[in-house]
This record gives sequence, C-alpha cells and structure tokens, in this order.
Amino acid sequence: MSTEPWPPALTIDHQAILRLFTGETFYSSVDASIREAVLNAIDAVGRRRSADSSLAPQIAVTFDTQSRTVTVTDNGDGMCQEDVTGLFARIGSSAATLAAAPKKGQYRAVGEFGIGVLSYFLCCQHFELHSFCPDNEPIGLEFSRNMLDGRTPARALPPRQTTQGTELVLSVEREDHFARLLERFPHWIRHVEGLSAREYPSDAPLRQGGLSREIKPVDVPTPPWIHEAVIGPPVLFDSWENFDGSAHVDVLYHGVFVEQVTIPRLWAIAGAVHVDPKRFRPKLNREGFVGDALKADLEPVLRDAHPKILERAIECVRDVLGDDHTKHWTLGRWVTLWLAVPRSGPYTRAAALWDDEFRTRKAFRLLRPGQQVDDVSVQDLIHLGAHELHIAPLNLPNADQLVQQAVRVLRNSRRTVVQGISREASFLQNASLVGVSTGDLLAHHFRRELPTLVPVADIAADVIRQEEAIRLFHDPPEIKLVRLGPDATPVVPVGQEIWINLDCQPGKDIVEDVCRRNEGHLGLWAACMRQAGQYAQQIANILAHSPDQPNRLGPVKRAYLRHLVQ
Amino acid sequence: MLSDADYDIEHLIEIIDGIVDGAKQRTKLQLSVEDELDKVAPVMRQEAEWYVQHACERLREVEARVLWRAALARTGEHTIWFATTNYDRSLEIGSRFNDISIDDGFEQFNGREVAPWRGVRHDRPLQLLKMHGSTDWYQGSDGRTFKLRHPMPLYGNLAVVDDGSEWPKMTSALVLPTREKRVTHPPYPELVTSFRNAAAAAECAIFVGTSLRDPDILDVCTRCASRIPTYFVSKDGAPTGSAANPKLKVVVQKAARFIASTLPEFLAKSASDSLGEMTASANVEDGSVLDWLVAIQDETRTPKEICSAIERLSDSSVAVDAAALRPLLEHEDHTVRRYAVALVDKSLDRAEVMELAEERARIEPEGLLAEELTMLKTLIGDREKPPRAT
Repeated sequence: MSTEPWPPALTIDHQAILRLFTGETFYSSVDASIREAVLNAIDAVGRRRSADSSLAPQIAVTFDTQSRTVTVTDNGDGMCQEDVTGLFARIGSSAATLAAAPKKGQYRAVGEFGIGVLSYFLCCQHFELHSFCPDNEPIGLEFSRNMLDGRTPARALPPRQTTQGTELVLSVEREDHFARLLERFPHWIRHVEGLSAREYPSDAPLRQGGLSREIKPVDVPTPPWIHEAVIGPPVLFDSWENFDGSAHVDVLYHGVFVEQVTIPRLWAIAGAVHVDPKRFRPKLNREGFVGDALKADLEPVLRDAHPKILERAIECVRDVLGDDHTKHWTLGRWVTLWLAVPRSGPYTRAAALWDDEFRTRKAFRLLRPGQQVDDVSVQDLIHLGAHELHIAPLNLPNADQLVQQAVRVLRNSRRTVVQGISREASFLQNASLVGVSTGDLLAHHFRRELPTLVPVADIAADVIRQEEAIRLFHDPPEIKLVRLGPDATPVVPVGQEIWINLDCQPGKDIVEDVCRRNEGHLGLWAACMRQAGQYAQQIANILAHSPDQPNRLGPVKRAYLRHLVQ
Repeated sequence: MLSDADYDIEHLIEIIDGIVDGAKQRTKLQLSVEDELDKVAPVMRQEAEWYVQHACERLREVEARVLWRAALARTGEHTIWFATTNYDRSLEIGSRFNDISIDDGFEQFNGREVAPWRGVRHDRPLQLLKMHGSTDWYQGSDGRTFKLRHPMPLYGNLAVVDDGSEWPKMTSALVLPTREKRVTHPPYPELVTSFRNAAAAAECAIFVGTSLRDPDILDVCTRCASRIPTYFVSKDGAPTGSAANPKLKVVVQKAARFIASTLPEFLAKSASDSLGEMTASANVEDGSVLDWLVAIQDETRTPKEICSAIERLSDSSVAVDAAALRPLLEHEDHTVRRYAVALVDKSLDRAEVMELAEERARIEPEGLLAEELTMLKTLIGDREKPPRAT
C-alpha cells in the first residue's frame, strides 16, 4: 500500500525548481550573473534616489583575478533582515514588492520576479551579501548552493557594510567563467550612471561598453518612454564598410544592454536608446524584450529620425572616405549609398545633399563609338549640351537584343548614350534602393536639369527602323536587313523577327546565300546555320512559322540586295 | 547519219542527192546499178523533203508572233528587205498577226485559196524575198508559181489538184539543196536579182543565222561588207573559211535573240552603226530566248514557269516590249508582277512600262510592286551616277 495521501494533491519539489532556475535552461549563459548583480545595484540606488534625488549614485564593480571574485557595491537603499528574508527566502517575490512599500518611495524596479539572485549560482557555489540600511542592523550573509534544497539556511558573517548600501561578492567557481564575465562586462554594462569598475590586482580601470559604434549624434525628437536617444550615422570606416542596409540600435535599460534592435531599410542609423522601465517592464523577461514589442515601438521613432540622420550621414561619408572615391571603395559600393537615399517627402533635403555630393563624381559611363567608354558625372552630362541623353540598360550584354543593337547604333552615330553604374549587390542588402543603377537616378531624378532623357529601351525599335530596315520576305516571319555596325552579330533574333546585319561580312554572306538559293525562309535557315549557328534555336523557333510556299525574291530585289552587300 | 553536230537536214539531202545523181550518171553511162543504196536513196530523199516541209510547217503561230512583233512594230520609216533561205513562214505569220504588211511577190488571196506569183515590187517599205521558196509555194504544171492559203507538205510525185480546174496541178516548189538551188526557172532568178539589187542600194546589211554556204548570199555579203556597215549575227561568232571577212561586224547572238530583242532596239535607233555598241558585251544565253518569250506570253503557263522565263530573260538582258510586259505587270499572281519589274529597265518601251508599273504599284495593296520598283530605281540611279572623281 502506498503511503502517499489519497486523493492526490499538487506537490512541489522545491529543489528541482530551484535548480531549474539556476541552470542554463533558464538563463542563456553565466553572463546573467553579472548583469543581474548590476541591475540589482541599479535598483537599490534607484530606490534610494526616489527618496533623495540629490544622491549621486555610486556603483563599483571589482574583478579580482587572484581570488576570482566579482564584487558589486552600491550606495543604494540597503537591505534590512526583513528585506533579505522577503527577497531571498521566498523565491518569486519581486523587488517590485519592495518598491510598493511606502518607505521605498515610487521607484519601479528592474527585477520582475525576484529570482534574479538565483542567477548568481550560475557562476558560483556561494556568494556573500553585506548590506546596511539605516535604523537596522547591518547584515552579513553567505548564500550557498546547498540552500537550493529549501531547508539549509544562509550562514551569518560578520557584517562589513558600514554605510548605507549593499556589497555583493560572487566567488566564481571556474576560471573560464570568471574570464567570460570579465570579457563580457563591457558588452552588458554600457552606460550605467555612477558605475566604475576595476580589475585587481592590476588596479586597471574597466571601461563600460558605451556605444557599439561611434556615431555622429543627431538631435532627433523622441517620445517620453525613451529617456535618451544617442543615435546618428557612424563615423568610423569599419562601420561604413560593414553596412547591411539596416538600422542597428542598442536598447539600454538604465545603462545595461538588453538587446540590439535591427530595422531593415533604415540604413545609417546606429547608436543606443535608453528606454523607460515603466513602459517596458511588462514586456521584459529575464534577458530581453518579449517578441517584437520593443521593435514595434521603436521603428516609427527611428523612421522619423532617418531623414535627418541621412542628412548628417553625407558629412560622415565625406570625412571617412575622403574625396577620392576609389581609394577605399569600388564605385559600385559608393553609388549604392547614393541609390539608397529615399527621395520622397521628408527625404527631399537629404536627397538634395547626397545629389550635390555626387554631382561631380564620375558615377556614369558615357558610351562612345566603338567600345570607348568615358567616366562622367552629372555635371559633365549637363555640360555636354546634348539635345537628348539616351540611357542605356545597365547590363547591356544581357539586355534585349533589340536594345543592344539600338545602343550600338546610337553610340556609333555619336549620339549621347549614358550607362549608369550598378549598385553593389552585396552592400546595403537590406536597404530599399531607388534603382539598380545611377542610370535610374538620372532617368527619374535629374530630368529637370538634364536634356531630354530617353531610355534606349523605350525607343530601340524606332532607332533601328530609322536605319531603313529592309524587309526580306513579304510574308511573316519578318526578316529585316539592318545596319548595326561591323561589330554587331550577323543575325539578331528580335521577338518574332530576325534581323540580318548588313554591316558585317557574315551578314552579307547570308544575304548573298539567300539570293543565290532563293528558297525563301528555308534558304535563310540554311544560310543562318552556316553564319550564325549560335542562334540556331531562336531562329528555328521563329522560322517555325514560315509559309508553306517559299517567298521567292524577284530578280530586281535580288539584284538590289547584292548591290547592297557589295 | 546526223550524229555529227556539223550536219543538218540540208547536208543529209545533199548527200542523198549525190547518191541519186551518181546512180543517174551510171545509168547514163550504161553501167550496172546493183547497189541497194541506189534503190532506196530516192525514197530517202522524198522522206527528207517531206520532213523539211513538215517541220517548217509546224511553226507555232505564237512563236512567230512573239519573235517578230517587236521588230516589225519598229520598222517605222525604214525600208527593209528581208531575204531568207528558210522555208518556214515565221515572218509572214508574225506580220499577219501583228497587222504589219509585208510584200512577198504574190498577189493577194482576195478570198481565194490560191494566189499566183505577181513579181517582186520595189516600192514597198517591207519586202520579203524567200530565196529558196516557202512551205506554201507550189509549182504549177504550167510553169507558174503559186501560194496556197492552206498549204500542205508535198513530196515526191504528190501534187495538188484544183477541182474547179481554175488552177493547174501543183507540186512542191521548194528549192532544196545542191543542184536545185541553182534552178533557173521563175521566180528564183528574179528573187536573186532583187536580192542583189536591194543589197546594192542598202545603207546597212545584217546577215542573221546564215552559214554563208550559199554562193549568192556569200557574194552579196562580201559586196555589202566592202561598202556599208554589214553585220554578221551568229551564236558561233565570225564566219570561217572562205566566208571569213575582216570587214564584217560580228554580233555573237542566237538568231532568235537577235530578231526578238536586238533588232527592235536597233530599229528604234536611227544610227546604222549602233548595233555594234548594243551587242558588244552580249553573251550567248544558255537556252532559247524564243521559248522564254513565248512562256511569258502564254496564258496557260503557271506563275512558276512564267517567273522562271522572266528570270532567264532578265539574266540574259533580253529587251521585251510593252505588249509582252503589260500582261505580266497586271498578272493576277503577285510573284509574277514582282518578277516582271525585272524586265522594265531593259524594256524596248521602258518609259511606257515604267509608268504602267508605277500605276500598278499605286493601286496594289500589298506594296510589293512598289518596293520592287523603288529598288529598281535605286539600282538605275546608282548605275547612272557619274563615277566619283579620284
């Protein structure tokens, strides 16, 4: 027979639960212990300051390498036995409960569940707590991991704290944990007011982490729940080098890093925001914000600030990268920034500034006759004085054959043909760009300043027709004889048409062959296979619709064509 | 016997005549005639004679009309004597179907089937001298020469007898080779005399398709060459042997090509010495110009056949008149219309057919004729551009 009571009731295995809270299944790493220790100190100082606003906060963090201890002292409100009993003896009780007490003022604590102290056991078997609260006996206690059985009491120590405040001494059990805490200190502790840190025995000061990236701060309006926003474009080369097109803003909670918020498309925003605990406490768990709660609130703020930051960013670009745009970056990387500047509404001023910056940069290619290419700027294009500026597709070799040939015709006839510089695909991937090349900027944003802008793709067919294309056969599929220059291919499949280039010898040979055979489209097929086999499939597809009866050329037309190709 | 290309039906008859004559001479000398060939030779000669008449009489009307139309239409103010040793009636038929009057020395039929020889006149612009007779000439038993409206080939002892007894019995009057060429009975002496007189008075002489084997013709040719521009037209070039004559201006063309294309062009020009320039670069075409000319004017031909003929004519630079071109430019098949443009430039009536083509191009919805014409004009324009100064 079982001795367990029946019917059964819910029972709690305290030891198992406590071990759960001190394991890495609850906290992601031992980092939590230093973070929690500092946050508890901040809370203590905050509680005292809520009653005495003149108090200068003092929080000291000491890493003693020899004794492998981490000591955190504060001049906070200190704890009496009742506080300690309530906080430590009953796991789950919140420091917030203390804040609710009239004697503690209106300070809202960071700790939410009162289980933060358990994180200390992540790195140590025992820790000491020394605290002094006026009108109470000073306290000195050693908490050991054995207490997790729910029965073993803390061990009393001679109290060391003689002034109001608390001292916490974590005896780190493992050397690697100690090293990690030391290393990660500046990551977590960014900008805590009144906090100083040192390393013993070297007595070397430890700096707080500060900003992840050095920035040029921009004064932007912020809502009340942001205590402080230190944001702006980065100023160091590495930051620009590693741009990915998103805003990366550190969210700090009383100077302690909570998480980094990444918001796509808002490029050039870096820095940190200090958020109000009152707003975010319900949205915090032990290590960060729940879900996208913060991001949803922060994104509109950063979006509003973005135009102004981009206005400032141009100064950073100039400072960091200098005038010689090829010194550090490819032109493609340079123009990617330019292409990533939004241009509507609040961005008008930013866009104008960036345009001015790039006005003299040779971010375009002027396609000269043959294969000659000149690098030119917007300013150069304005000074060209051309009546029309033809904008060639960015990737000409992959462009429609019609467009390719039109570009060739235009440049060989000394018309002004400009090609943009393409964005660098791997750079600013998360930013939304206004186009894939500077040619798009020309076409859409410089129309007023430049001569008539005509994308070649829009007029390609007309350009070729102006070259007095001759129709070879009277029935479809249409076969046209055109002059595309000696460097063009002899055969150009264009949609459902085939063009024969009379300017090159293979093209002439095709025409001669067609005249000699005089078998209509069939003869053309045979001629094309000899002279332009690379287009076999395309030509076959087009000629599949040839008439049953061959279109024979009359003697005059044949004589004329032969005359043309001689 | 005809396997050698140097021989023709006239040679065959000459050979047969030689055999028959030899038999007669042996008989006269009372030598025995035992050779089998002597027995069959007269029959062979009759067969050959029949063949000549029959073959000549098979001349198609359309060929005669097409061959002579352009030249006859351009005789204009010229006085032209046509002398021929051919038996066929090509020129007579061609002139009749083109409503051109040529005097051949016979009276008019005037509703009769038979017209008697009247004699060569010398006051007609176009005169025909058939030096060796014609397939429609018959010799009357009374010694006179007649022409039948509906001739039939006769040979050997066959004769035509008139039921009404108005006309004598008639046999073939063809002057066949060798001995008979030298017959002296009418009207041949008169024809030879007229031929010689006309040549003596001519300003220009053209000998077309003759071997000059006939001594009368060779003699006249030699006399003409010494006095006036004299042309010798032959696909084989200058005559050789005894007929060779450096004064002759040789036109290397086939006879049909010359008559249908070159002669009309020549007649349209006034200068008698222009023929040499016109034909200086002429090549002898591979095929029959007459066949091609007939093909483009034969309504029963398929568009493909017509286009093929047009192409051959165009390639050979044959001048075609408006009468031949007009139906082509108005043909129901657009390919034929387009092909016809190829003949416009060289046409004997270029201005007229160009205007016609342009008119057709204006009303043709497909625009194909217009395109072809534009190309033609471009070609002509480029050809006529003065050479660029260097």
